[in-house]
Amino acid sequence: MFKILGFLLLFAASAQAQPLGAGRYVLDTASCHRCDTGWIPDYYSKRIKYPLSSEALVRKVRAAVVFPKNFKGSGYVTVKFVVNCEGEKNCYHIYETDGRYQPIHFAKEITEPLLQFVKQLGPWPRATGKYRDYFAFLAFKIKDGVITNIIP
Amino acid sequence: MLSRILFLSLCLPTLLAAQSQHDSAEHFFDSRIAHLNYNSAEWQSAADSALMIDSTVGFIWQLRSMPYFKDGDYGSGMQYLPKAAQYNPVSSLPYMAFMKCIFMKDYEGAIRDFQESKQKGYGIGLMDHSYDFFLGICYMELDSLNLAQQYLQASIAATVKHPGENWVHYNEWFYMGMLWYKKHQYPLAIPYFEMSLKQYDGYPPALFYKAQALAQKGNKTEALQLLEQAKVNIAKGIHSTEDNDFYVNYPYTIYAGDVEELITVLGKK
Repeated sequence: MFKILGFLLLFAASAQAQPLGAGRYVLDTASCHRCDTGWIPDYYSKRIKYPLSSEALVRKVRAAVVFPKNFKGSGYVTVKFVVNCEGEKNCYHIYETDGRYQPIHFAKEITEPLLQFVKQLGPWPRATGKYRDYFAFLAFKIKDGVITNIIP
Repeated sequence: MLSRILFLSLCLPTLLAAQSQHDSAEHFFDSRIAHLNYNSAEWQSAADSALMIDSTVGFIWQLRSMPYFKDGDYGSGMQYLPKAAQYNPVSSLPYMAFMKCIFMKDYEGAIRDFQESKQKGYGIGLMDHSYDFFLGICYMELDSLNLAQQYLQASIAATVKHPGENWVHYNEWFYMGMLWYKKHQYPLAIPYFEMSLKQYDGYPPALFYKAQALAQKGNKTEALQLLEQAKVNIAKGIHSTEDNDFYVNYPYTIYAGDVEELITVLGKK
Protein backbone atom coordinates (compact mmCIF):
# COMPACT_ATOMS: atom_id res chain seq x y z
CA MET A 1 0.00 0.00 0.00
CA PHE A 2 2.88 2.34 0.82
CA LYS A 3 4.41 1.63 -2.55
CA ILE A 4 1.18 2.65 -4.27
CA LEU A 5 0.99 5.85 -2.22
CA GLY A 6 4.60 6.61 -3.01
CA PHE A 7 4.08 6.27 -6.74
CA LEU A 8 0.93 8.40 -6.59
CA LEU A 9 2.81 11.15 -4.76
CA LEU A 10 5.53 11.13 -7.38
CA PHE A 11 3.08 11.56 -10.22
CA ALA A 12 1.35 14.37 -8.33
CA ALA A 13 4.60 16.11 -7.54
CA SER A 14 5.81 16.16 -11.11
CA ALA A 15 2.81 18.28 -12.03
CA GLN A 16 3.60 20.99 -9.43
CA ALA A 17 5.34 24.34 -9.99
CA GLN A 18 9.08 24.29 -9.39
CA PRO A 19 10.33 26.31 -6.45
CA LEU A 20 13.70 27.93 -6.89
CA GLY A 21 16.10 26.99 -4.12
CA ALA A 22 15.59 24.38 -1.46
CA GLY A 23 13.99 26.52 1.20
CA ARG A 24 10.43 26.36 2.38
CA TYR A 25 9.70 29.63 0.64
CA VAL A 26 9.24 29.95 -3.06
CA LEU A 27 11.40 32.86 -4.08
CA ASP A 28 9.67 35.01 -6.66
CA THR A 29 12.53 35.91 -8.93
CA ALA A 30 10.36 37.39 -11.69
CA SER A 31 10.76 40.92 -10.32
CA CYS A 32 14.48 40.59 -9.56
CA HIS A 33 17.03 42.56 -11.52
CA ARG A 34 18.76 39.70 -13.26
CA CYS A 35 21.02 39.54 -16.27
CA ASP A 36 19.89 36.19 -17.62
CA THR A 37 16.71 34.13 -17.64
CA GLY A 38 16.26 30.55 -16.53
CA TRP A 39 18.12 28.64 -13.87
CA ILE A 40 19.78 30.54 -11.01
CA PRO A 41 22.59 28.49 -9.50
CA ASP A 42 23.77 28.78 -5.91
CA TYR A 43 26.97 30.52 -4.86
CA TYR A 44 28.79 27.24 -4.29
CA SER A 45 28.16 26.15 -7.88
CA LYS A 46 30.02 29.27 -8.97
CA ARG A 47 32.75 28.77 -6.35
CA ILE A 48 31.99 32.23 -4.97
CA LYS A 49 31.82 33.54 -1.42
CA TYR A 50 32.05 37.08 -0.08
CA PRO A 51 35.76 37.99 0.06
CA LEU A 52 35.89 38.69 3.79
CA SER A 53 36.17 36.21 6.64
CA SER A 54 33.22 35.33 8.83
CA GLU A 55 35.16 36.69 11.83
CA ALA A 56 35.64 40.08 10.15
CA LEU A 57 31.98 40.21 9.12
CA VAL A 58 30.93 39.54 12.72
CA ARG A 59 33.08 42.47 13.88
CA LYS A 60 31.49 44.70 11.24
CA VAL A 61 27.91 43.71 12.01
CA ARG A 62 28.40 44.09 15.76
CA ALA A 63 29.67 47.62 15.14
CA ALA A 64 26.81 48.44 12.76
CA VAL A 65 23.82 46.71 14.33
CA VAL A 66 22.62 47.24 17.88
CA PHE A 67 19.65 45.17 18.97
CA PRO A 68 17.19 46.46 21.58
CA LYS A 69 18.66 45.99 25.07
CA ASN A 70 15.82 43.71 26.16
CA PHE A 71 16.29 41.31 23.23
CA LYS A 72 17.76 38.04 24.47
CA GLY A 73 16.61 35.73 21.70
CA SER A 74 18.57 33.00 19.95
CA GLY A 75 18.40 31.50 16.50
CA TYR A 76 19.31 32.26 12.92
CA VAL A 77 18.32 35.04 10.55
CA THR A 78 19.33 34.14 6.99
CA VAL A 79 19.22 36.87 4.36
CA LYS A 80 19.12 35.26 0.93
CA PHE A 81 19.41 37.24 -2.29
CA VAL A 82 20.28 37.12 -5.95
CA VAL A 83 23.59 38.55 -7.17
CA ASN A 84 23.45 39.64 -10.80
CA CYS A 85 26.17 39.97 -13.39
CA GLU A 86 27.01 43.48 -12.10
CA GLY A 87 27.67 42.13 -8.62
CA GLU A 88 24.50 43.86 -7.41
CA LYS A 89 22.40 42.23 -4.74
CA ASN A 90 18.61 42.24 -4.99
CA CYS A 91 15.54 40.08 -4.57
CA TYR A 92 15.97 39.58 -0.85
CA HIS A 93 14.30 36.93 1.24
CA ILE A 94 14.64 36.10 4.92
CA TYR A 95 14.54 32.74 6.73
CA GLU A 96 14.15 32.77 10.49
CA THR A 97 14.76 29.91 12.90
CA ASP A 98 14.90 29.88 16.66
CA GLY A 99 17.61 28.29 18.81
CA ARG A 100 15.82 24.94 18.67
CA TYR A 101 15.54 25.03 14.88
CA GLN A 102 11.82 25.81 15.00
CA PRO A 103 10.12 28.46 12.83
CA ILE A 104 10.00 31.91 14.40
CA HIS A 105 9.40 35.48 13.34
CA PHE A 106 11.76 37.86 15.08
CA ALA A 107 10.65 41.46 15.53
CA LYS A 108 11.37 43.91 12.71
CA GLU A 109 13.88 45.62 15.02
CA ILE A 110 15.97 42.45 14.69
CA THR A 111 15.58 41.47 11.05
CA GLU A 112 15.48 44.90 9.41
CA PRO A 113 18.94 46.07 10.57
CA LEU A 114 20.43 42.77 9.46
CA LEU A 115 18.82 43.11 6.06
CA GLN A 116 20.15 46.66 5.77
CA PHE A 117 23.61 45.47 6.81
CA VAL A 118 23.62 42.93 3.99
CA LYS A 119 22.34 45.50 1.51
CA GLN A 120 25.10 47.99 2.34
CA LEU A 121 27.92 45.46 2.00
CA GLY A 122 30.10 46.11 -1.01
CA PRO A 123 29.59 44.42 -4.38
CA TRP A 124 29.58 40.65 -4.39
CA PRO A 125 31.98 38.89 -6.77
CA ARG A 126 30.62 38.60 -10.28
CA ALA A 127 29.96 35.18 -11.74
CA THR A 128 31.15 34.17 -15.16
CA GLY A 129 30.11 31.46 -17.54
CA LYS A 130 26.71 30.31 -18.65
CA TYR A 131 24.72 31.46 -15.60
CA ARG A 132 25.79 34.91 -14.40
CA ASP A 133 23.14 35.42 -11.72
CA TYR A 134 23.45 33.34 -8.58
CA PHE A 135 21.87 32.89 -5.16
CA ALA A 136 23.90 33.82 -2.10
CA PHE A 137 23.10 34.31 1.54
CA LEU A 138 24.44 35.47 4.86
CA ALA A 139 23.10 33.77 7.97
CA PHE A 140 23.42 35.53 11.30
CA LYS A 141 23.63 33.23 14.28
CA ILE A 142 22.25 34.91 17.37
CA LYS A 143 22.73 33.64 20.89
CA ASP A 144 21.11 35.34 23.87
CA GLY A 145 20.68 38.55 21.91
CA VAL A 146 24.25 38.67 20.54
CA ILE A 147 25.40 37.91 17.01
CA THR A 148 27.97 35.18 17.50
CA ASN A 149 28.61 34.00 13.97
CA ILE A 150 27.97 34.69 10.32
CA ILE A 151 27.62 31.83 7.86
CA PRO A 152 28.94 30.91 5.34
CA MET B 1 15.75 -24.89 21.05
CA LEU B 2 12.47 -25.71 19.37
CA SER B 3 10.92 -22.53 20.76
CA ARG B 4 13.79 -20.47 19.32
CA ILE B 5 13.32 -22.04 15.92
CA LEU B 6 9.61 -21.36 16.15
CA PHE B 7 10.23 -17.75 17.21
CA LEU B 8 12.66 -17.14 14.34
CA SER B 9 10.37 -18.72 11.82
CA LEU B 10 7.58 -16.42 12.95
CA CYS B 11 9.78 -13.28 12.90
CA LEU B 12 11.65 -14.03 9.72
CA PRO B 13 8.88 -13.10 7.28
CA THR B 14 8.42 -9.75 9.05
CA LEU B 15 12.16 -9.06 9.01
CA LEU B 16 12.42 -10.00 5.37
CA ALA B 17 9.42 -7.82 4.52
CA ALA B 18 10.96 -4.87 6.37
CA GLN B 19 14.27 -5.31 4.54
CA SER B 20 12.42 -5.61 1.26
CA GLN B 21 10.57 -2.36 1.97
CA HIS B 22 13.85 -0.68 2.90
CA ASP B 23 15.48 -1.88 -0.30
CA SER B 24 12.47 -0.77 -2.33
CA ALA B 25 12.68 2.74 -0.92
CA GLU B 26 16.42 2.98 -1.60
CA HIS B 27 16.07 1.57 -5.10
CA PHE B 28 13.17 3.89 -5.86
CA PHE B 29 15.13 6.92 -4.65
CA ASP B 30 18.33 6.00 -6.50
CA SER B 31 16.46 5.37 -9.72
CA ARG B 32 14.61 8.68 -9.59
CA ILE B 33 17.39 11.11 -8.67
CA ALA B 34 20.03 9.99 -11.16
CA HIS B 35 19.80 13.09 -13.36
CA LEU B 36 18.23 15.51 -10.95
CA ASN B 37 19.67 18.53 -9.18
CA TYR B 38 19.13 18.22 -5.43
CA ASN B 39 17.71 21.74 -5.33
CA SER B 40 14.91 20.79 -7.71
CA ALA B 41 11.33 20.03 -6.75
CA GLU B 42 11.56 16.65 -8.50
CA TRP B 43 14.52 15.56 -6.37
CA GLN B 44 12.75 16.59 -3.20
CA SER B 45 9.55 14.86 -4.28
CA ALA B 46 11.50 11.69 -5.06
CA ALA B 47 12.92 11.74 -1.54
CA ASP B 48 9.49 12.31 -0.02
CA SER B 49 8.02 9.49 -2.09
CA ALA B 50 10.81 7.11 -1.10
CA LEU B 51 10.16 7.95 2.54
CA MET B 52 6.50 7.12 2.00
CA ILE B 53 7.63 3.64 0.98
CA ASP B 54 9.82 3.29 4.05
CA SER B 55 10.16 6.14 6.53
CA THR B 56 13.05 4.47 8.37
CA VAL B 57 15.71 4.85 5.68
CA GLY B 58 18.12 7.13 7.49
CA PHE B 59 20.30 8.09 4.57
CA ILE B 60 17.32 9.39 2.59
CA TRP B 61 16.36 11.62 5.53
CA GLN B 62 19.99 12.80 5.57
CA LEU B 63 20.01 13.59 1.86
CA ARG B 64 16.62 15.25 2.16
CA SER B 65 18.05 17.69 4.68
CA MET B 66 21.20 18.52 2.77
CA PRO B 67 19.98 21.16 0.27
CA TYR B 68 18.52 23.26 3.08
CA PHE B 69 21.83 23.53 4.91
CA LYS B 70 23.48 24.71 1.71
CA ASP B 71 20.69 27.26 1.39
CA GLY B 72 21.06 28.72 4.91
CA ASP B 73 17.65 27.33 5.86
CA TYR B 74 18.72 25.52 9.00
CA GLY B 75 15.22 25.19 10.41
CA SER B 76 14.04 23.19 7.42
CA GLY B 77 17.19 21.08 7.38
CA MET B 78 16.76 20.21 11.02
CA GLN B 79 13.24 18.91 10.36
CA TYR B 80 14.93 16.03 8.54
CA LEU B 81 18.43 15.45 9.88
CA PRO B 82 17.45 14.30 13.40
CA LYS B 83 15.29 11.62 11.73
CA ALA B 84 18.39 10.42 9.89
CA ALA B 85 20.25 10.24 13.20
CA GLN B 86 17.31 8.37 14.74
CA TYR B 87 17.12 5.67 12.03
CA ASN B 88 20.78 5.47 11.06
CA PRO B 89 22.71 6.64 14.11
CA VAL B 90 26.02 5.00 13.26
CA SER B 91 26.72 7.33 10.36
CA SER B 92 24.06 10.04 10.65
CA LEU B 93 24.65 11.04 14.28
CA PRO B 94 28.29 11.99 13.63
CA TYR B 95 27.18 13.62 10.38
CA MET B 96 24.62 15.71 12.27
CA ALA B 97 27.35 16.64 14.76
CA PHE B 98 29.55 17.75 11.85
CA MET B 99 26.74 19.82 10.33
CA LYS B 100 26.10 21.51 13.68
CA CYS B 101 29.81 22.26 14.12
CA ILE B 102 30.80 23.42 10.63
CA PHE B 103 27.57 24.49 8.92
CA MET B 104 25.49 25.83 11.78
CA LYS B 105 28.21 26.84 14.29
CA ASP B 106 26.03 25.18 16.96
CA TYR B 107 29.02 24.12 18.98
CA GLU B 108 27.14 23.01 22.10
CA GLY B 109 24.88 20.79 19.99
CA ALA B 110 27.84 19.41 18.06
CA ILE B 111 29.69 18.55 21.27
CA ARG B 112 26.70 16.57 22.56
CA ASP B 113 26.41 14.62 19.31
CA PHE B 114 30.13 13.96 18.90
CA GLN B 115 30.44 12.83 22.53
CA GLU B 116 27.50 10.46 22.10
CA SER B 117 29.02 9.15 18.88
CA LYS B 118 32.29 8.45 20.66
CA GLN B 119 30.61 6.83 23.66
CA LYS B 120 28.53 4.53 21.47
CA GLY B 121 31.44 3.64 19.21
CA TYR B 122 29.96 5.14 16.04
CA GLY B 123 33.26 5.29 14.20
CA ILE B 124 36.20 7.57 14.94
CA GLY B 125 35.97 10.31 12.35
CA LEU B 126 34.45 11.81 9.23
CA MET B 127 35.26 14.37 6.54
CA ASP B 128 39.01 13.58 6.85
CA HIS B 129 39.18 14.34 10.56
CA SER B 130 38.73 12.62 13.89
CA TYR B 131 35.85 13.42 16.22
CA ASP B 132 38.50 14.82 18.59
CA PHE B 133 39.51 17.35 15.91
CA PHE B 134 35.96 18.66 15.64
CA LEU B 135 35.52 18.63 19.41
CA GLY B 136 38.69 20.70 19.62
CA ILE B 137 37.25 23.23 17.17
CA CYS B 138 33.94 23.37 19.07
CA TYR B 139 35.60 24.02 22.41
CA MET B 140 37.94 26.56 20.84
CA GLU B 141 35.01 28.48 19.38
CA LEU B 142 33.32 28.39 22.78
CA ASP B 143 36.55 29.81 24.29
CA SER B 144 37.13 26.67 26.40
CA LEU B 145 40.74 26.72 25.32
CA ASN B 146 42.12 24.11 27.71
CA LEU B 147 39.54 21.56 26.61
CA ALA B 148 40.21 22.53 22.99
CA GLN B 149 43.90 21.89 23.56
CA GLN B 150 43.17 18.48 25.05
CA TYR B 151 41.14 17.33 22.05
CA LEU B 152 43.32 18.85 19.33
CA GLN B 153 46.43 17.35 20.91
CA ALA B 154 44.72 13.96 21.17
CA SER B 155 43.74 14.14 17.51
CA ILE B 156 47.26 14.96 16.38
CA ALA B 157 48.83 12.39 18.72
CA ALA B 158 46.63 9.63 17.33
CA THR B 159 47.79 10.37 13.78
CA VAL B 160 51.44 10.73 14.79
CA LYS B 161 51.21 7.31 16.45
CA HIS B 162 49.73 5.82 13.30
CA PRO B 163 50.36 6.36 10.44
CA GLY B 164 52.88 9.07 11.33
CA GLU B 165 53.61 12.79 11.71
CA ASN B 166 53.70 13.40 7.95
CA TRP B 167 50.04 12.37 7.78
CA VAL B 168 48.81 15.02 10.19
CA HIS B 169 46.38 17.22 8.25
CA TYR B 170 47.54 20.80 7.66
CA ASN B 171 44.40 22.10 9.35
CA GLU B 172 45.12 20.09 12.49
CA TRP B 173 48.44 21.94 12.79
CA PHE B 174 46.75 25.20 11.85
CA TYR B 175 44.12 24.98 14.57
CA MET B 176 46.74 24.06 17.17
CA GLY B 177 48.45 27.27 16.10
CA MET B 178 45.17 29.15 16.42
CA LEU B 179 44.69 27.72 19.90
CA TRP B 180 48.00 29.20 21.09
CA TYR B 181 47.28 32.39 19.16
CA LYS B 182 43.99 32.78 21.01
CA LYS B 183 45.87 32.20 24.26
CA HIS B 184 48.17 35.07 23.15
CA GLN B 185 51.09 32.64 23.26
CA TYR B 186 52.52 33.80 19.92
CA PRO B 187 55.95 32.10 20.17
CA LEU B 188 54.08 28.81 20.71
CA ALA B 189 51.62 29.45 17.88
CA ILE B 190 54.21 30.16 15.18
CA PRO B 191 55.76 26.66 15.00
CA TYR B 192 52.32 25.15 14.46
CA PHE B 193 51.55 27.56 11.63
CA GLU B 194 54.89 26.56 10.14
CA MET B 195 53.99 22.87 10.43
CA SER B 196 50.76 23.67 8.61
CA LEU B 197 52.71 25.43 5.85
CA LYS B 198 55.08 22.48 5.63
CA GLN B 199 52.09 20.26 4.88
CA TYR B 200 50.40 22.77 2.61
CA ASP B 201 52.86 25.27 1.18
CA GLY B 202 51.41 28.75 0.92
CA TYR B 203 48.18 27.97 2.80
CA PRO B 204 46.77 31.51 3.19
CA PRO B 205 45.22 31.25 6.69
CA ALA B 206 48.51 29.86 8.10
CA LEU B 207 50.43 32.70 6.43
CA PHE B 208 47.94 35.27 7.67
CA TYR B 209 47.89 34.19 11.28
CA LYS B 210 51.64 33.58 11.37
CA ALA B 211 51.92 37.18 10.15
CA GLN B 212 49.59 38.31 12.92
CA ALA B 213 51.64 36.43 15.52
CA LEU B 214 54.90 37.93 14.19
CA ALA B 215 53.36 41.40 14.25
CA GLN B 216 52.36 40.87 17.86
CA LYS B 217 56.00 40.03 18.59
CA GLY B 218 57.07 43.26 16.88
CA ASN B 219 58.34 41.68 13.67
CA LYS B 220 56.33 43.85 11.29
CA THR B 221 58.63 43.49 8.28
CA GLU B 222 58.38 39.72 8.09
CA ALA B 223 54.65 39.94 8.85
CA LEU B 224 54.07 42.19 5.85
CA GLN B 225 56.11 39.86 3.62
CA LEU B 226 53.93 36.95 4.64
CA LEU B 227 50.79 38.98 4.01
CA GLU B 228 51.94 39.87 0.50
CA GLN B 229 52.52 36.18 -0.09
CA ALA B 230 49.05 35.38 1.25
CA LYS B 231 47.56 37.98 -1.09
CA VAL B 232 49.26 36.44 -4.10
CA ASN B 233 48.25 32.92 -3.11
CA ILE B 234 44.60 33.87 -2.62
CA ALA B 235 44.60 35.48 -6.07
CA LYS B 236 46.07 32.24 -7.45
CA GLY B 237 43.14 30.37 -5.95
CA ILE B 238 45.04 28.60 -3.19
CA HIS B 239 42.49 27.77 -0.51
CA SER B 240 41.42 25.10 1.94
CA THR B 241 40.91 21.67 0.44
CA GLU B 242 38.30 20.65 3.01
CA ASP B 243 35.41 18.98 1.18
CA ASN B 244 32.86 21.52 2.33
CA ASP B 245 34.98 24.62 1.78
CA PHE B 246 32.81 25.62 -1.19
CA TYR B 247 29.70 25.76 0.99
CA VAL B 248 30.88 27.15 4.30
CA ASN B 249 33.87 28.79 5.97
CA TYR B 250 35.73 26.68 8.47
CA PRO B 251 36.78 28.88 11.43
CA TYR B 252 39.48 31.44 10.59
CA THR B 253 39.21 31.00 6.84
CA ILE B 254 40.50 34.27 5.36
CA TYR B 255 40.06 36.13 2.11
CA ALA B 256 41.63 38.96 0.16
CA GLY B 257 39.69 41.55 2.14
CA ASP B 258 41.16 40.34 5.42
CA VAL B 259 44.71 40.50 4.08
CA GLU B 260 44.20 44.01 2.66
CA GLU B 261 42.76 45.18 5.94
CA LEU B 262 45.68 43.84 7.96
CA ILE B 263 48.26 45.25 5.55
CA THR B 264 46.60 48.65 5.97
CA VAL B 265 46.57 48.35 9.77
CA LEU B 266 50.21 47.27 9.99
CA GLY B 267 51.23 49.94 7.52
CA LYS B 268 49.76 52.63 9.73
CA LYS B 269 51.65 51.44 12.83
